[in-house]
Amino acid sequence: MKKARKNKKFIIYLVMCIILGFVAGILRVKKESFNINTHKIIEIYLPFGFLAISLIITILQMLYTFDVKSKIKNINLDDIPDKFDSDLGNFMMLGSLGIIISLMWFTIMMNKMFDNNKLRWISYGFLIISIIFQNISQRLFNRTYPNKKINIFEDNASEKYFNKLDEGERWIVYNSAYSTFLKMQIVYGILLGVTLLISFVTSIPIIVPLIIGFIWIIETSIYFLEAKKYE
Amino acid sequence: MALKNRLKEFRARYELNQSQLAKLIGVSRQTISLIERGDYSPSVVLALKMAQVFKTNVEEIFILEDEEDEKSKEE
Repeated sequence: MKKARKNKKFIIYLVMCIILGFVAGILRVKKESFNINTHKIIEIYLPFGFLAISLIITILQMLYTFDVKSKIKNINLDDIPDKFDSDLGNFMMLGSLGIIISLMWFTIMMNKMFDNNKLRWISYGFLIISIIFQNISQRLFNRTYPNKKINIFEDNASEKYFNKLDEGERWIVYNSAYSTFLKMQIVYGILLGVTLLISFVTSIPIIVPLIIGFIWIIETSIYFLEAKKYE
Repeated sequence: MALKNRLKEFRARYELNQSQLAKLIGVSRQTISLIERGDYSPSVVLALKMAQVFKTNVEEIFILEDEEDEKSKEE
């Protein structure tokens, strides 16, 4: 029964690949290529897209700040409710995402192809706001868990935090990290595959598959080198 | 071989919630929850600490289930 299910899955994937290959081949053979107006996407949609995402993240962070700050006064720190723990975790995740997105936007806006100084300053402003909210979420975490205080601005902050975790919490970290590594292997493959398909249809900057490939190589190499330390 | 536990039963006997037991042993409530669900097998040190709190042996709290027992249960 299991073998039949495995074979069925394999056949379905094979058929999907055949169809994709057929479509890609036809598109490659066609003399005309599709012209995507990259100028409009880069100059207009991209900066305003980042502005919209940054606004949404900032509003969510403000809501979480009010929510968590109001609840923290009334909870028993010896018996923290799961909902509060989950909200605090989401707030911290938003903080990290907010900084990454703001940094991406700021880096893009500093590119010489953009001459919109207003948007440049706005992106810088959102970067500062993200850092402030990250700081707030960190303080609330330290108040909730005083025996596991984090200070992201000190040296080896991650290592110091990890050393404060108990065995169950470390087990969660190990499993989450390995699961992330496995899923990222699939993500990189899909990204390169999609880039390949798009290349059949229109011209795509060579730097895109190069960057995806380099990051994939670096991550895989780091994993194997780290694992070798324990052999 | 699966590791089963009677942690919930012992907690109920001693009227301890997960947070109280976690504080007594010196771990987080999350760790106690992981152990109770069977997701995580505790270290020897942690198992011994639990046995001390419940004034019993480790073998009373944690039971190794044989593969044969598992198969017969499935049947």
